[in-house]
Amino acid sequence: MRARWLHWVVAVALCATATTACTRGADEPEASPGASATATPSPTPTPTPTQPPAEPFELTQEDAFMYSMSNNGVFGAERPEPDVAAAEAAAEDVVSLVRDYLDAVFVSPATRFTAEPLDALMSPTVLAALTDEDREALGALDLQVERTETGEATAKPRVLIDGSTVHSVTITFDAGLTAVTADGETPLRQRGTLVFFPSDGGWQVIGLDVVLQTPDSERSGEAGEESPSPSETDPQDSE
Amino acid sequence: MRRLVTAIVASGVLVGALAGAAVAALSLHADVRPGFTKDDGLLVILAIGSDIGPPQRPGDPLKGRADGIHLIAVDPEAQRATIVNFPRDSLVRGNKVNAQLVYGGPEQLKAALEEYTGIGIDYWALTTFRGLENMAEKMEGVEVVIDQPMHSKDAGSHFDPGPARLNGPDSLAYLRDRKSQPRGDFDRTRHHGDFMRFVHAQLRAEQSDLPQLVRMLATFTSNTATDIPADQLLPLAFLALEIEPEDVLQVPLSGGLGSTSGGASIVRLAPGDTFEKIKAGQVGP
Repeated sequence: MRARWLHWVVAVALCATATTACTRGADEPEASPGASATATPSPTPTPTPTQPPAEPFELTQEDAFMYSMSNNGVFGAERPEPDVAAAEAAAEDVVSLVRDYLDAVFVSPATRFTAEPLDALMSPTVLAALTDEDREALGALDLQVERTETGEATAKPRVLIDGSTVHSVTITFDAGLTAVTADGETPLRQRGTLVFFPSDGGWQVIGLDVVLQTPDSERSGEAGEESPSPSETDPQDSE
Repeated sequence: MRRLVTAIVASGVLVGALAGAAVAALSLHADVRPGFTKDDGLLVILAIGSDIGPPQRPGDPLKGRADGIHLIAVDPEAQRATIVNFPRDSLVRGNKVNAQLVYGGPEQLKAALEEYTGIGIDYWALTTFRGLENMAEKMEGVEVVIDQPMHSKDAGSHFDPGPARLNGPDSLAYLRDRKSQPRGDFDRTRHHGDFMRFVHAQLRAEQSDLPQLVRMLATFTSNTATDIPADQLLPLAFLALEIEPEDVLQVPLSGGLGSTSGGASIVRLAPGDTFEKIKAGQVGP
């Protein structure tokens, strides 16, 4: 999704470059006579309302939590200890993907509030399973907004690892935003959990539990609700 | 496939809200958890409890005696399951079934049961005394219903009938007690199946959100040995939590008591049509 965002930026840059080139071309002496003969004066540019640039999410990554899948504590077999660096690298990679998803689905003018950002994020199985309601909860509301103001966003990774092999990264995230239309502003909050598996050198979501809601609808016990887990302080998880 | 979609207010209303209408409570919920799928019918897993393993009994758990032997046959589509509990003394291939683990590890036990039952087994998973205690501790105890008095000094059981939440050591005592039971190993074997159903029901009730599920998956893998591919574990967990406890049938096998020429006690199983039903794809109540 970052690539798509970059494409949009690049497209704008190309348009600007092209406009500059055309302007230069009219002034250059080697322009073809025919072109000069048929050239018409450019109309005076009409001032257009300027929009503030879209601000991407500043997604704060909380400390990654590592769950070791190694059974050497029970079986006494010689197996390598979890590779902390590999776990942290995987956590950062996946948090980056979640940041890109949030930017693409809520901020980028080219893709915001569409289902397009989901294509690269989800496994084929999950994509096939998504209903319209699921897509809407994931942000594909098919809305026309003037802009999106991003708010606080956090992500907590949980890494399943055996030795140096990372089997999955689970992200629990919470992102606030405000959708701005000509008629007003609506605060929204998306939160929940995305489970990523490695796939072809990248990562894909193979399970999800996500809520999109207005703050006044929040109720306890819904998706993404974080409850203190004994695992978070229990050293046995690293055995 | 689990699907819990909660749309308190349809997105059309959200569009209205964003267009300036009064904002009511809006909540859209996506919950998608693709479960394990199998093209050719049932998924069958052999669950093994080894009597060897550190620290209680040092040694290789994969070459211990299998004191817990259970076939779990699951229909992923219908989301139903049958658990078949085998007494450890069951006569299979001319010997006690639990000795197959000693002679050739989980693969030999699996092969022997496949030959005896005619049921293909996809995967095996094995745990130890300590592994079982750890898993029960991670669940903060397992809620069970004690069906008859259990008071065995050898096993460490001290339970009166009724509901109880068993910690790690008590869970192990519950699963090991045969001497205080009227039907000895038949009761113990049945309790193994009961315990699996209690754990399943509790996981559904308490560990169904994704972060908890991932944590429990790590608990499972760190306390078992298994040939289930790592990338299938989470889909399997999703599938397990899809199945309603009342859609799980438990079949504790029984049979006639006898002895080998060497004097070892054996059980000549009388499985009835249990295996035929599973082979025909009929699982669950």
